[in-house]
Amino acid sequence: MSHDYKMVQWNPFKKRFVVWMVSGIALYLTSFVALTYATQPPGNSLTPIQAMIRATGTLAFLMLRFILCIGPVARFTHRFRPFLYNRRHIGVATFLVALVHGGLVLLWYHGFSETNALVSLFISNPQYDSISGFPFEVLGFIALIIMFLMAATSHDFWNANLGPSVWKALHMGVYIAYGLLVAHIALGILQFEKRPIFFLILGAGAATVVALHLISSIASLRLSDRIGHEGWLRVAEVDEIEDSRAKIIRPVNGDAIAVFRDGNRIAAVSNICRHQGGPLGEGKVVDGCITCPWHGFQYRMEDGQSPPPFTEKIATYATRILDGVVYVNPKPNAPGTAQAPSDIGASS
Amino acid sequence: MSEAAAETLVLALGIYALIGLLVGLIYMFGGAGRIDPAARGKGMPVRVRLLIVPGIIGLWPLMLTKLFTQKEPPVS
Repeated sequence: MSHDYKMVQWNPFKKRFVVWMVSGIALYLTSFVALTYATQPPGNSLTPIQAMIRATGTLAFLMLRFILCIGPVARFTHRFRPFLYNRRHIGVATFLVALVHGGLVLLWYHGFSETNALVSLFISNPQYDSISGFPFEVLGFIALIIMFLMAATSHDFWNANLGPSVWKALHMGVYIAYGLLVAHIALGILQFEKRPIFFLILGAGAATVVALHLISSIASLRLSDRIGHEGWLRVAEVDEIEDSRAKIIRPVNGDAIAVFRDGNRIAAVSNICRHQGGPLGEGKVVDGCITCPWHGFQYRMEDGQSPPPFTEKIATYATRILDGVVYVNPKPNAPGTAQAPSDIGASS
Repeated sequence: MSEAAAETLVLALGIYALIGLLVGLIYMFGGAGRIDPAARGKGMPVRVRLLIVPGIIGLWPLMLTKLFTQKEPPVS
Protein backbone atom coordinates (compact mmCIF):
# COMPACT_ATOMS: atom_id res chain seq x y z
CA MET A 1 0.00 0.00 0.00
CA SER A 2 1.92 2.98 -1.16
CA HIS A 3 1.07 6.22 -2.84
CA ASP A 4 4.10 6.29 -5.09
CA TYR A 5 4.68 4.12 -8.11
CA LYS A 6 7.22 1.32 -8.14
CA MET A 7 8.39 -0.83 -11.05
CA VAL A 8 7.09 -3.99 -9.38
CA GLN A 9 5.79 -4.39 -5.86
CA TRP A 10 8.18 -7.20 -5.07
CA ASN A 11 7.95 -9.45 -2.08
CA PRO A 12 9.89 -12.68 -1.41
CA PHE A 13 7.02 -14.83 -2.70
CA LYS A 14 6.76 -12.90 -5.98
CA LYS A 15 10.51 -13.16 -6.49
CA ARG A 16 10.43 -16.93 -5.98
CA PHE A 17 7.45 -17.20 -8.30
CA VAL A 18 9.19 -15.28 -11.09
CA VAL A 19 12.34 -17.39 -10.72
CA TRP A 20 10.25 -20.56 -11.08
CA MET A 21 8.32 -19.12 -14.00
CA VAL A 22 11.43 -18.06 -15.94
CA SER A 23 13.07 -21.42 -15.21
CA GLY A 24 9.96 -23.19 -16.48
CA ILE A 25 9.96 -21.10 -19.67
CA ALA A 26 13.65 -21.86 -20.29
CA LEU A 27 13.10 -25.57 -19.61
CA TYR A 28 10.13 -25.73 -22.00
CA LEU A 29 11.97 -23.99 -24.82
CA THR A 30 15.14 -26.08 -24.55
CA SER A 31 13.16 -29.33 -24.19
CA PHE A 32 10.97 -28.48 -27.15
CA VAL A 33 13.91 -27.72 -29.42
CA ALA A 34 15.83 -30.79 -28.24
CA LEU A 35 12.83 -33.08 -28.75
CA THR A 36 12.14 -31.54 -32.16
CA TYR A 37 15.63 -32.47 -33.30
CA ALA A 38 15.60 -35.87 -31.60
CA THR A 39 12.32 -36.90 -33.25
CA GLN A 40 12.90 -35.27 -36.63
CA PRO A 41 12.42 -37.78 -39.47
CA PRO A 42 15.47 -38.35 -41.66
CA GLY A 43 15.71 -35.82 -44.46
CA ASN A 44 13.78 -33.20 -42.55
CA SER A 45 15.90 -30.22 -41.73
CA LEU A 46 14.22 -27.71 -39.46
CA THR A 47 16.55 -24.85 -38.65
CA PRO A 48 17.06 -23.78 -35.02
CA ILE A 49 15.05 -20.63 -35.73
CA GLN A 50 12.14 -22.63 -37.09
CA ALA A 51 12.26 -24.88 -34.03
CA MET A 52 12.27 -21.81 -31.78
CA ILE A 53 9.33 -20.35 -33.71
CA ARG A 54 7.32 -23.46 -32.90
CA ALA A 55 8.58 -23.60 -29.33
CA THR A 56 7.74 -19.97 -28.53
CA GLY A 57 4.44 -20.15 -30.38
CA THR A 58 3.20 -23.21 -28.53
CA LEU A 59 4.48 -21.89 -25.20
CA ALA A 60 2.79 -18.49 -25.57
CA PHE A 61 -0.47 -20.18 -26.49
CA LEU A 62 -0.29 -22.64 -23.58
CA MET A 63 0.54 -19.81 -21.16
CA LEU A 64 -2.40 -17.75 -22.41
CA ARG A 65 -4.72 -20.71 -22.01
CA PHE A 66 -3.37 -21.27 -18.51
CA ILE A 67 -4.01 -17.61 -17.62
CA LEU A 68 -7.62 -17.97 -18.73
CA CYS A 69 -8.05 -21.03 -16.52
CA ILE A 70 -6.55 -19.44 -13.39
CA GLY A 71 -9.60 -17.38 -12.40
CA PRO A 72 -12.23 -20.13 -12.59
CA VAL A 73 -10.03 -22.82 -11.03
CA ALA A 74 -8.90 -20.53 -8.18
CA ARG A 75 -12.54 -20.27 -7.12
CA PHE A 76 -12.55 -23.96 -6.34
CA THR A 77 -9.10 -24.61 -4.93
CA HIS A 78 -6.67 -22.63 -2.78
CA ARG A 79 -3.77 -24.25 -4.61
CA PHE A 80 -4.30 -22.05 -7.64
CA ARG A 81 -4.20 -18.82 -5.66
CA PRO A 82 -0.43 -18.31 -6.04
CA PHE A 83 -1.06 -18.19 -9.78
CA LEU A 84 -3.97 -15.81 -9.29
CA TYR A 85 -1.82 -13.46 -7.23
CA ASN A 86 0.87 -13.48 -9.92
CA ARG A 87 -1.33 -13.47 -12.98
CA ARG A 88 0.05 -10.10 -14.07
CA HIS A 89 3.60 -11.50 -14.18
CA ILE A 90 2.46 -14.51 -16.19
CA GLY A 91 0.59 -12.23 -18.59
CA VAL A 92 3.60 -10.00 -19.26
CA ALA A 93 5.83 -13.08 -19.68
CA THR A 94 3.31 -14.54 -22.13
CA PHE A 95 3.41 -11.37 -24.21
CA LEU A 96 7.22 -11.41 -24.25
CA VAL A 97 7.30 -15.04 -25.39
CA ALA A 98 4.71 -14.23 -28.08
CA LEU A 99 6.76 -11.21 -29.13
CA VAL A 100 9.84 -13.40 -29.62
CA HIS A 101 7.67 -15.77 -31.67
CA GLY A 102 6.39 -12.92 -33.85
CA GLY A 103 9.84 -11.41 -34.22
CA LEU A 104 11.36 -14.70 -35.33
CA VAL A 105 8.53 -15.25 -37.83
CA LEU A 106 9.09 -11.80 -39.33
CA LEU A 107 12.82 -12.36 -39.42
CA TRP A 108 12.78 -15.85 -40.88
CA TYR A 109 9.85 -15.76 -43.30
CA HIS A 110 9.68 -12.07 -44.24
CA GLY A 111 13.02 -10.52 -43.36
CA PHE A 112 15.10 -11.51 -46.36
CA SER A 113 13.26 -9.74 -49.18
CA GLU A 114 13.37 -6.12 -50.27
CA THR A 115 9.75 -5.68 -49.22
CA ASN A 116 9.16 -4.35 -45.72
CA ALA A 117 8.77 -7.37 -43.42
CA LEU A 118 5.38 -6.23 -42.07
CA VAL A 119 4.09 -5.46 -45.56
CA SER A 120 5.30 -8.89 -46.61
CA LEU A 121 3.36 -10.44 -43.71
CA PHE A 122 0.13 -9.01 -45.09
CA ILE A 123 0.68 -9.74 -48.79
CA SER A 124 2.78 -12.91 -48.98
CA ASN A 125 -0.34 -15.04 -48.79
CA PRO A 126 -3.22 -13.24 -50.55
CA GLN A 127 -5.87 -15.95 -49.99
CA TYR A 128 -8.06 -13.89 -47.67
CA ASP A 129 -11.16 -15.39 -49.29
CA SER A 130 -10.15 -18.98 -48.56
CA ILE A 131 -10.52 -20.94 -45.32
CA SER A 132 -7.96 -23.64 -45.97
CA GLY A 133 -5.42 -21.18 -47.34
CA PHE A 134 -6.20 -18.15 -45.14
CA PRO A 135 -3.12 -16.09 -44.12
CA PHE A 136 -3.28 -17.19 -40.50
CA GLU A 137 -0.19 -15.12 -39.59
CA VAL A 138 -2.33 -11.97 -39.76
CA LEU A 139 -4.59 -13.30 -36.98
CA GLY A 140 -1.54 -13.90 -34.81
CA PHE A 141 -0.36 -10.35 -35.51
CA ILE A 142 -3.68 -8.87 -34.35
CA ALA A 143 -3.61 -11.07 -31.23
CA LEU A 144 -0.07 -9.85 -30.53
CA ILE A 145 -1.23 -6.22 -30.74
CA ILE A 146 -3.98 -6.95 -28.20
CA MET A 147 -1.52 -8.72 -25.91
CA PHE A 148 0.84 -5.76 -26.25
CA LEU A 149 -1.88 -3.35 -25.12
CA MET A 150 -2.65 -5.53 -22.10
CA ALA A 151 0.97 -6.03 -21.11
CA ALA A 152 1.82 -2.36 -21.64
CA THR A 153 -1.05 -1.26 -19.40
CA SER A 154 -0.49 -3.78 -16.62
CA HIS A 155 1.26 -1.31 -14.30
CA ASP A 156 -0.65 0.26 -11.40
CA PHE A 157 -0.43 3.67 -13.10
CA TRP A 158 -2.79 2.44 -15.78
CA ASN A 159 -5.36 1.00 -13.43
CA ALA A 160 -5.43 4.25 -11.50
CA ASN A 161 -5.58 6.56 -14.51
CA LEU A 162 -7.75 4.61 -16.90
CA GLY A 163 -10.17 3.78 -14.08
CA PRO A 164 -11.11 0.23 -13.06
CA SER A 165 -13.94 -0.14 -15.59
CA VAL A 166 -11.96 1.00 -18.67
CA TRP A 167 -8.92 -0.97 -17.50
CA LYS A 168 -10.97 -4.11 -17.02
CA ALA A 169 -12.72 -3.70 -20.38
CA LEU A 170 -9.33 -3.35 -22.06
CA HIS A 171 -8.02 -6.45 -20.34
CA MET A 172 -11.08 -8.47 -21.30
CA GLY A 173 -9.41 -8.33 -24.71
CA VAL A 174 -7.60 -11.46 -23.56
CA TYR A 175 -10.63 -13.46 -24.70
CA ILE A 176 -10.49 -11.90 -28.18
CA ALA A 177 -6.75 -12.61 -28.32
CA TYR A 178 -7.34 -16.22 -27.31
CA GLY A 179 -10.05 -16.65 -29.96
CA LEU A 180 -7.77 -15.17 -32.62
CA LEU A 181 -4.96 -17.48 -31.56
CA VAL A 182 -7.20 -20.55 -31.68
CA ALA A 183 -8.10 -19.54 -35.26
CA HIS A 184 -4.43 -18.72 -35.99
CA ILE A 185 -3.32 -22.19 -34.93
CA ALA A 186 -6.28 -24.06 -36.43
CA LEU A 187 -5.74 -22.45 -39.82
CA GLY A 188 -2.01 -23.03 -39.57
CA ILE A 189 -2.57 -26.71 -38.79
CA LEU A 190 -4.94 -26.88 -41.75
CA GLN A 191 -2.14 -25.78 -44.05
CA PHE A 192 0.79 -27.72 -42.64
CA GLU A 193 -0.54 -30.72 -40.70
CA LYS A 194 -3.20 -33.15 -41.78
CA ARG A 195 -3.18 -35.33 -38.65
CA PRO A 196 -6.45 -34.93 -36.69
CA ILE A 197 -4.67 -35.26 -33.33
CA PHE A 198 -3.61 -31.59 -33.52
CA PHE A 199 -7.20 -30.44 -34.05
CA LEU A 200 -8.31 -32.65 -31.16
CA ILE A 201 -5.72 -31.17 -28.79
CA LEU A 202 -6.60 -27.62 -29.85
CA GLY A 203 -10.34 -28.25 -29.57
CA ALA A 204 -10.02 -29.98 -26.19
CA GLY A 205 -8.02 -27.04 -24.83
CA ALA A 206 -10.53 -24.46 -26.02
CA ALA A 207 -13.41 -26.59 -24.69
CA THR A 208 -11.66 -26.79 -21.30
CA VAL A 209 -11.41 -23.00 -21.10
CA VAL A 210 -15.10 -22.57 -22.01
CA ALA A 211 -16.22 -25.35 -19.63
CA LEU A 212 -14.25 -23.94 -16.69
CA HIS A 213 -15.80 -20.52 -17.18
CA LEU A 214 -19.28 -22.00 -17.46
CA ILE A 215 -18.87 -24.15 -14.34
CA SER A 216 -17.48 -21.20 -12.42
CA SER A 217 -20.40 -19.00 -13.51
CA ILE A 218 -22.96 -21.63 -12.56
CA ALA A 219 -21.35 -22.00 -9.12
CA SER A 220 -21.60 -18.22 -8.71
CA LEU A 221 -25.28 -18.31 -9.63
CA ARG A 222 -25.91 -20.96 -7.01
CA LEU A 223 -24.22 -18.78 -4.42
CA SER A 224 -26.45 -15.87 -5.41
CA ASP A 225 -29.58 -17.87 -4.75
CA ARG A 226 -29.32 -17.88 -0.97
CA ILE A 227 -32.31 -15.91 0.14
CA GLY A 228 -32.41 -16.50 3.86
CA HIS A 229 -34.04 -14.81 6.82
CA GLU A 230 -36.03 -11.59 6.11
CA GLY A 231 -34.21 -10.90 2.83
CA TRP A 232 -30.80 -11.46 4.40
CA LEU A 233 -28.59 -13.87 2.52
CA ARG A 234 -27.48 -17.11 4.07
CA VAL A 235 -23.69 -17.29 3.97
CA ALA A 236 -22.70 -20.52 5.70
CA GLU A 237 -22.63 -22.21 9.06
CA VAL A 238 -20.12 -20.55 11.34
CA ASP A 239 -17.85 -23.60 11.32
CA GLU A 240 -17.76 -23.61 7.54
CA ILE A 241 -15.90 -20.29 7.48
CA GLU A 242 -12.22 -20.92 8.03
CA ASP A 243 -10.55 -18.65 10.56
CA SER A 244 -8.97 -15.55 8.94
CA ARG A 245 -10.65 -16.44 5.65
CA ALA A 246 -13.88 -15.53 3.90
CA LYS A 247 -16.85 -16.88 2.04
CA ILE A 248 -17.84 -14.92 -1.06
CA ILE A 249 -21.51 -14.30 -1.68
CA ARG A 250 -22.83 -12.97 -4.97
CA PRO A 251 -26.25 -11.35 -4.59
CA VAL A 252 -28.55 -11.39 -7.59
CA ASN A 253 -28.29 -7.60 -7.63
CA GLY A 254 -25.20 -5.78 -6.51
CA ASP A 255 -21.54 -6.51 -6.04
CA ALA A 256 -20.07 -9.66 -4.55
CA ILE A 257 -19.71 -9.64 -0.75
CA ALA A 258 -16.80 -11.11 1.21
CA VAL A 259 -17.81 -12.41 4.64
CA PHE A 260 -14.73 -12.79 6.84
CA ARG A 261 -14.11 -14.61 10.07
CA ASP A 262 -11.38 -13.45 12.44
CA GLY A 263 -11.46 -15.58 15.56
CA ASN A 264 -14.91 -14.97 17.02
CA ARG A 265 -15.69 -11.98 14.81
CA ILE A 266 -17.66 -12.11 11.57
CA ALA A 267 -17.72 -9.08 9.28
CA ALA A 268 -18.70 -8.45 5.67
CA VAL A 269 -17.26 -6.04 3.15
CA SER A 270 -17.31 -5.51 -0.60
CA ASN A 271 -15.37 -8.21 -2.40
CA ILE A 272 -13.70 -5.63 -4.65
CA CYS A 273 -10.40 -4.05 -3.61
CA ARG A 274 -10.13 -0.31 -4.32
CA HIS A 275 -6.65 -0.77 -5.71
CA GLN A 276 -7.03 -2.98 -8.77
CA GLY A 277 -10.37 -4.63 -8.17
CA GLY A 278 -8.73 -7.67 -6.59
CA PRO A 279 -10.95 -10.32 -4.98
CA LEU A 280 -10.73 -9.45 -1.28
CA GLY A 281 -12.65 -12.58 -0.32
CA GLU A 282 -9.76 -14.66 -1.60
CA GLY A 283 -7.39 -12.89 0.77
CA LYS A 284 -7.12 -13.28 4.51
CA VAL A 285 -7.21 -11.35 7.76
CA VAL A 286 -3.78 -10.18 8.88
CA ASP A 287 -3.45 -8.30 12.19
CA GLY A 288 -7.17 -7.64 12.22
CA CYS A 289 -7.17 -6.20 8.71
CA ILE A 290 -8.64 -7.74 5.57
CA THR A 291 -5.70 -8.08 3.19
CA CYS A 292 -6.10 -8.18 -0.57
CA PRO A 293 -4.43 -11.23 -2.10
CA TRP A 294 -3.17 -9.30 -5.10
CA HIS A 295 -1.07 -6.48 -3.68
CA GLY A 296 -1.62 -6.49 0.05
CA PHE A 297 -3.96 -3.49 0.33
CA GLN A 298 -5.59 -3.63 3.76
CA TYR A 299 -8.95 -2.65 5.24
CA ARG A 300 -10.17 -2.76 8.82
CA MET A 301 -12.87 -5.34 9.43
CA GLU A 302 -15.04 -3.02 11.49
CA ASP A 303 -15.36 -0.09 9.04
CA GLY A 304 -13.80 -1.05 5.68
CA GLN A 305 -11.21 1.74 5.94
CA SER A 306 -7.52 1.34 5.22
CA PRO A 307 -5.48 1.95 8.37
CA PRO A 308 -3.84 5.43 8.51
CA PRO A 309 -2.13 7.06 6.71
CA PHE A 310 -3.99 5.38 3.84
CA THR A 311 -7.43 6.58 2.85
CA GLU A 312 -9.06 3.85 0.75
CA LYS A 313 -12.57 2.81 1.80
CA ILE A 314 -14.82 -0.06 0.79
CA ALA A 315 -18.49 -0.78 1.49
CA THR A 316 -19.40 -2.69 4.65
CA TYR A 317 -22.41 -4.92 5.23
CA ALA A 318 -24.39 -5.89 8.30
CA THR A 319 -24.05 -9.50 9.43
CA ARG A 320 -25.85 -11.60 12.01
CA ILE A 321 -25.70 -15.14 13.32
CA LEU A 322 -28.84 -17.18 13.93
CA ASP A 323 -28.68 -20.80 15.15
CA GLY A 324 -25.05 -21.06 14.13
CA VAL A 325 -25.71 -19.76 10.61
CA VAL A 326 -24.18 -16.54 9.32
CA TYR A 327 -26.40 -14.15 7.37
CA VAL A 328 -25.49 -10.95 5.56
CA ASN A 329 -27.69 -8.00 4.65
CA PRO A 330 -27.15 -7.50 0.89
CA LYS A 331 -27.74 -3.74 1.19
CA PRO A 332 -24.28 -2.10 1.32
CA ASN A 333 -23.35 0.67 3.73
CA ALA A 334 -21.50 3.64 2.29
CA PRO A 335 -17.77 2.94 1.91
CA GLY A 336 -15.98 3.32 5.22
CA THR A 337 -19.14 3.09 7.36
CA ALA A 338 -18.57 1.54 10.79
CA GLN A 339 -20.38 -1.77 11.13
CA ALA A 340 -19.79 -3.77 14.27
CA PRO A 341 -18.75 -7.37 13.48
CA SER A 342 -21.01 -10.14 14.73
CA ASP A 343 -19.69 -12.04 17.72
CA ILE A 344 -19.84 -15.82 17.40
CA GLY A 345 -19.66 -16.29 21.17
CA ALA A 346 -22.54 -13.90 21.82
CA SER A 347 -24.88 -15.67 19.42
CA SER A 348 -24.39 -19.26 20.53
CA MET B 1 -4.73 -7.50 -49.54
CA SER B 2 -2.94 -5.50 -52.20
CA GLU B 3 0.62 -4.32 -51.71
CA ALA B 4 -0.49 -0.67 -51.78
CA ALA B 5 -3.09 -1.30 -49.07
CA ALA B 6 -0.57 -3.18 -46.93
CA GLU B 7 1.99 -0.38 -47.32
CA THR B 8 -0.63 2.20 -46.34
CA LEU B 9 -1.60 0.13 -43.29
CA VAL B 10 1.99 -0.30 -42.14
CA LEU B 11 2.69 3.39 -42.73
CA ALA B 12 -0.39 4.32 -40.69
CA LEU B 13 0.75 2.02 -37.87
CA GLY B 14 4.20 3.62 -37.96
CA ILE B 15 2.81 7.17 -37.83
CA TYR B 16 0.46 6.16 -35.01
CA ALA B 17 3.38 4.72 -33.03
CA LEU B 18 5.56 7.77 -33.71
CA ILE B 19 2.91 10.19 -32.44
CA GLY B 20 2.45 7.85 -29.48
CA LEU B 21 6.15 8.07 -28.73
CA LEU B 22 5.95 11.87 -28.71
CA VAL B 23 2.98 11.79 -26.35
CA GLY B 24 4.91 9.25 -24.26
CA LEU B 25 7.78 11.71 -23.97
CA ILE B 26 5.35 14.40 -22.83
CA TYR B 27 4.15 12.00 -20.15
CA MET B 28 7.69 11.16 -19.16
CA PHE B 29 8.58 14.79 -18.66
CA GLY B 30 5.70 16.05 -16.55
CA GLY B 31 2.51 14.81 -18.21
CA ALA B 32 2.08 11.89 -15.83
CA GLY B 33 2.25 14.20 -12.82
CA ARG B 34 -0.22 16.57 -14.43
CA ILE B 35 -3.02 13.98 -14.47
CA ASP B 36 -1.92 12.03 -11.39
CA PRO B 37 -0.47 13.79 -8.31
CA ALA B 38 1.02 10.48 -7.14
CA ALA B 39 3.22 10.48 -10.26
CA ARG B 40 4.83 13.85 -9.52
CA GLY B 41 8.54 14.11 -8.78
CA LYS B 42 9.93 11.20 -6.80
CA GLY B 43 6.48 9.58 -6.71
CA MET B 44 7.32 8.06 -10.09
CA PRO B 45 10.99 7.19 -10.69
CA VAL B 46 12.44 7.51 -14.20
CA ARG B 47 12.40 3.75 -14.81
CA VAL B 48 8.67 3.65 -14.06
CA ARG B 49 8.11 6.60 -16.40
CA LEU B 50 9.88 4.58 -19.10
CA LEU B 51 7.69 1.61 -18.26
CA ILE B 52 4.49 3.50 -19.06
CA VAL B 53 5.68 4.78 -22.44
CA PRO B 54 4.72 1.63 -24.41
CA GLY B 55 1.18 1.87 -23.05
CA ILE B 56 0.99 5.52 -24.07
CA ILE B 57 2.18 4.60 -27.56
CA GLY B 58 -0.73 2.17 -27.75
CA LEU B 59 -3.37 4.44 -26.21
CA TRP B 60 -2.10 7.91 -27.06
CA PRO B 61 -5.39 9.39 -28.33
CA LEU B 62 -6.99 8.61 -24.97
CA MET B 63 -3.99 9.75 -22.94
CA LEU B 64 -3.59 12.96 -24.96
CA THR B 65 -7.24 13.77 -24.28
CA LYS B 66 -6.70 13.10 -20.58
CA LEU B 67 -3.85 15.58 -20.48
CA PHE B 68 -6.27 18.35 -21.37
CA THR B 69 -9.51 17.16 -19.82
CA GLN B 70 -8.72 15.26 -16.61
CA LYS B 71 -9.15 17.65 -13.72
CA GLU B 72 -9.79 15.26 -10.85
CA PRO B 73 -6.98 13.01 -9.57
CA PRO B 74 -7.53 9.26 -10.10
CA VAL B 75 -9.46 7.25 -7.54
CA SER B 76 -6.58 5.47 -5.85
